[in-house]
Formats: sequence, C-alpha cells, structure tokens
Amino acid sequence: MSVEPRKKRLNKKDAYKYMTRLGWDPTYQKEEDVFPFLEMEGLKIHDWEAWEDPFRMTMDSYWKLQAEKDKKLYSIIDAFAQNNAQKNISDARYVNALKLFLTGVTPLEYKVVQGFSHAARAFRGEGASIACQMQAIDELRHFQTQVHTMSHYNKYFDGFHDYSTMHDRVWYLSVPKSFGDDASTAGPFEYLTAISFSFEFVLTSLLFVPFMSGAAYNGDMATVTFGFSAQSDESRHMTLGLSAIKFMLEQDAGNVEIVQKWMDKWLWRGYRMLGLVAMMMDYMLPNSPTSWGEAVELYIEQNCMALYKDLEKYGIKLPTDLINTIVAEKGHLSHQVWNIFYNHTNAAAFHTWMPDEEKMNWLSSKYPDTFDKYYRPMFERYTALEKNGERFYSEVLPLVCQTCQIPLGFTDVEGGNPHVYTHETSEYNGEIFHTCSKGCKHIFEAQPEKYIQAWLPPHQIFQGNCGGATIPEVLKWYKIEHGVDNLDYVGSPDEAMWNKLKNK
Amino acid sequence: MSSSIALLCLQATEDGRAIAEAIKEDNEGVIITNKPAMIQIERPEKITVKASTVSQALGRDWDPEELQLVLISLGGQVEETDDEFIVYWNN
Repeated sequence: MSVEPRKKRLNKKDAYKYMTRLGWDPTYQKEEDVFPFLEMEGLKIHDWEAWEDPFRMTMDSYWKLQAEKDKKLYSIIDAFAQNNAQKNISDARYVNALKLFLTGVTPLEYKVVQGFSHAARAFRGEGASIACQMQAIDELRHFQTQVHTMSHYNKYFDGFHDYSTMHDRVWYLSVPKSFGDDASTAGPFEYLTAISFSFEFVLTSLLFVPFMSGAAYNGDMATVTFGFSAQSDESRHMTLGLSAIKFMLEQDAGNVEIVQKWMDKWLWRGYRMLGLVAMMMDYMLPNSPTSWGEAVELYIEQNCMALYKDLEKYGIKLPTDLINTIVAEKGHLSHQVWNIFYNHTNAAAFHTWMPDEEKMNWLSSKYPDTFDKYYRPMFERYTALEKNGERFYSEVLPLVCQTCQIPLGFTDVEGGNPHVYTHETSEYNGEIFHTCSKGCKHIFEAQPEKYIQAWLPPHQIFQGNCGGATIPEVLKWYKIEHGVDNLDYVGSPDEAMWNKLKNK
Repeated sequence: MSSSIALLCLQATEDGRAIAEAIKEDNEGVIITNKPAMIQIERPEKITVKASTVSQALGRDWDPEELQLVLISLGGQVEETDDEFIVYWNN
C-alpha cells in the first residue's frame, strides 16, 4: 500500500515556540508582587526559557486530541449503559473497587485541578504555565469522566451516592485527602515534584495500569476505557514531571538538595497511599491479572530504578532505605491492609469479604514466602468465625499515623518480625506523635509544625466533631447507611441485587 | 549503551496494533507482549516510532502526536518531532 508523501507544515519546534511563548514582562507592578510564590521555597531559577515540553503540545493540538479521546470514551459509556453491561462483570464484589476509586481517587483529581491552576499562575515562565494549565484541564476531564462512567453503577449498587462528602469525612479517605492537602499547601515547586514527578512519573502506572487491566479482566469495559483515556494524559504528565525535575536540577546546583528532599518525601507519601491499591489488586478484584508484588517489581524495581539512575548525573541519590522497605513489604502490604479493612468494614462505604479457597490458592502462588505462613491461618480463622455466625467487626477506633493517616497496622517486616506490630514515635513541644514507619516519622520530623495540624479522624471523633461518639452517629455524619453501604458483602443489598441481575 | 529498558504501553486498538507493527519493523530486538487490553513494548535504551512506517501500516497520513490517543504508559524520556516519536533512557 502506498501513501501520499506527508504534507509540509510549520515544524513542531517552531510551532511550539510561536504558540507558547506569549508572555510579557510586567512593568506596572513589581515582578515579586506579580509572582509572590517564586522565592519562598529557596529554589533558584535563572532562565525560564529553558523549560521545554518534550511533546511540544500547543493548544490547537490539545483541543483536537482531547476531543477525540472524549468522543471515543463517551460512545463506549453509552454502549455500556445501553447493553446493561453491569450484568457482565465477573462478580458484584468487583464493584467495591470502583467505590473505593470514586471516593478516594476521583476527588483527588478535582483537588489537582486547583493545584495545577495555582502552579500555572505562580510560575514565571510561559512554558511551565501552559503545561500546568493543560494538566489542570486534563484533571478536570478525569474527574468528570470518572464520575460519568461510575454513575451507571450508582443505579444498581450502594455506596456511590455521596463521594465528595465521604472524601472529606470518612476515616480511611483521609489518607488520600491528606495527601492532596499536603501537596497543595506546599509551594509551587514542591507541588510539581509531589504530583508531576513522584505521583505521576514514579507511581501513576502502579495505580492506573493494574486497575484498568483489572477492570478488563473483570468485564468492566467502561472503566477500562475511562482509565486508559485518562492514562493517555498521564503519559504526558509523566513526561512533564521528568522535564520539571530536570529543569529544577539544571537551573542551580543549590536546588539539588531541596529537590532530593521533596523527591524522597513524596515517593514515600505516594507509596503509602497506594497501600489501598495493593489491597484492591490482590483482594477486591475477583479475577486479578497481576499481583501487587509483581507490579512493584515492574514499576518500582525496574522503572523507578532506571529513572533515578537517569538523574544520578545531577547528584540525585536513590533513596535506598525507602526502596528497601518497599521491596521488603511487597509480600505483606496487601494482606495487612485488607486485614485492617475487613475488621473495620462496619465503618466503611464498601463491603469486604474473606477470599474463597481458589483466591487463597492464587495468593499462595503469588506470595509463596508470606501468604501461607502469616496470613492464610488468620483468614481461615475469620472464615470459621463467619460460619459460626460470629463475623468479627471491630468496635474500637484505630490509632492512625500522624503523616499518612493509615492505621498503625503494619508489622516489623524489615526487623525480621512480620508477625509483630510496629510503629514509631516522635516528641514535639512536649507531646508524643505516632507514625507508622521510619519514612513517615522522617517526614513528620522535617516539618512537625505542618503535621501536628493533621485532621486525624479518630481524634476528631473523640473530640466530638463527627456527629457523635457512637458508630451509628458517626456513620450518619459520614452519609453511610448502616446495613446497606457497609458490612460484609455476604448478606448485603448489593449481593441481593447481583443475584437478581443474574437471575439466581 | 544503556541497560535501562525503554517502555511503551499502547491500547490494543486498530491504531495501537498498527503502531506496534511499525515499531517491530523499525526497532531490532524489541519485545512486544500482549496484555489484557494493552500492548507492552520494551527495548533496551530506546524505542523509535517512525511516522512514515506507521502511515504505511495504517494506509493514511499519521502524525506522531496521534500516538497520544492510544498511549497508556511510558518509561523513559520523550523526544517528539514531525517525523518521529522517541522514548529513551540516557544513562
């Protein structure tokens, strides 16, 4: 097959230059008044012109490509609804992964719209501002397409009804919420490092790729499509994240130390938050295409290492301690997080359950060194209790980490005691603060005045700020309907709906 | 020669498959794996997507920026021109 020679046009480099370098120098006002956040973080930028987008994206291309992506996505969402495709998912247990996504991740997308709009305004260079503006619009698209896609499930299943209130109030959702708040209350350069680099470049593939492959494995065509549609933007964000880091590092040798500190902090913050994804991949997907452990091998041990190696020439060092912990925990993390949620699902906006024999065997095969030894016996005991009608729900509030806000449910894996709970403590102004790990302790101690202000859900409940002192009162304030949105999947209205849809 | 692996993950669509074919033609030693809904493309150091080869495979004029419509993830730095889209490691 032959094709016409490609048409001549203004080359990409020139087009990018003409269409993005449209700024001006302020003359009526002082520069430091127009851009008040540029110096507060101690970073030095000498030449904003050096910022370049490797995709050389201009607004005309941007609208064209994004419109095309949306057209494809919405035709699939329509087809999904028209064909009652909620009946084709592997099992209604799967839907709980979507509930966690809608309440935990989707509101963060919206938070990031605000964050990038702010960064776009704060930066002095047009290249950086335009990249941030486009990313803000991308994130708004992600927020909207996720809500639109998942609204179909809201017609049939519980727990989708008030995701934004839940995000602000529910205990485990303070994990992603505090992550977003921590980033957006930093200066614009730390924000870029947190979101564009650590989250988008290092970690986003760990979130989206397994989640979407998981959706594909479980018959959820609509979620596969919104995920991959969002992910096509993420690839651009990842690249911008790397350009941003290089830009900061190349501008001034003094920037290296500051940027390294941020990279380490946000790698750990992001990793901790993805504990929720680990549990989703290994337990919430009825059919799992990849285990959390395998994803860590590809995205952390292979890709993340390559990335840090690429930055060595600037003086950036691999945070060996953090990486060692991530690798040591890979056989434990998902089981420990699922255990926490299984015990506290009476106060959650989704259902949990114990894996059946087939799933346990899959977990044994994926985690040969850890699952049978530490977790299978515990889960078999829970199953036995359920069979006696004694399904356990915790009635107490967990103590949560002052930094990441995850309950202190992790064990001393690196110390060789995976069966012993562990935590760290710090003292500040005569008070004791608890953190879940060395990574979180270090972050706390670098900025204690920031983290002592954390809105910790159990503390807030005890202070009387969450509707009352009993679980029913707090659930009401959370907008969680007891006996409907929470508790075990077995016996839930979701299960009854699924049986009806499948004519069981 | 870098030991780091450059990575491209494309949606398994009509366009995605044609792009993967073109990559296979132009990148010796590339490893292409079919995953659920996704084509995973890995090669040490560098992957080059040539617009001319993709245009040939699709039977229409294809611009490198259209890669973004099927792109899921990538590992490496990016260089995009009118004729090529390159993902590479520089270490």
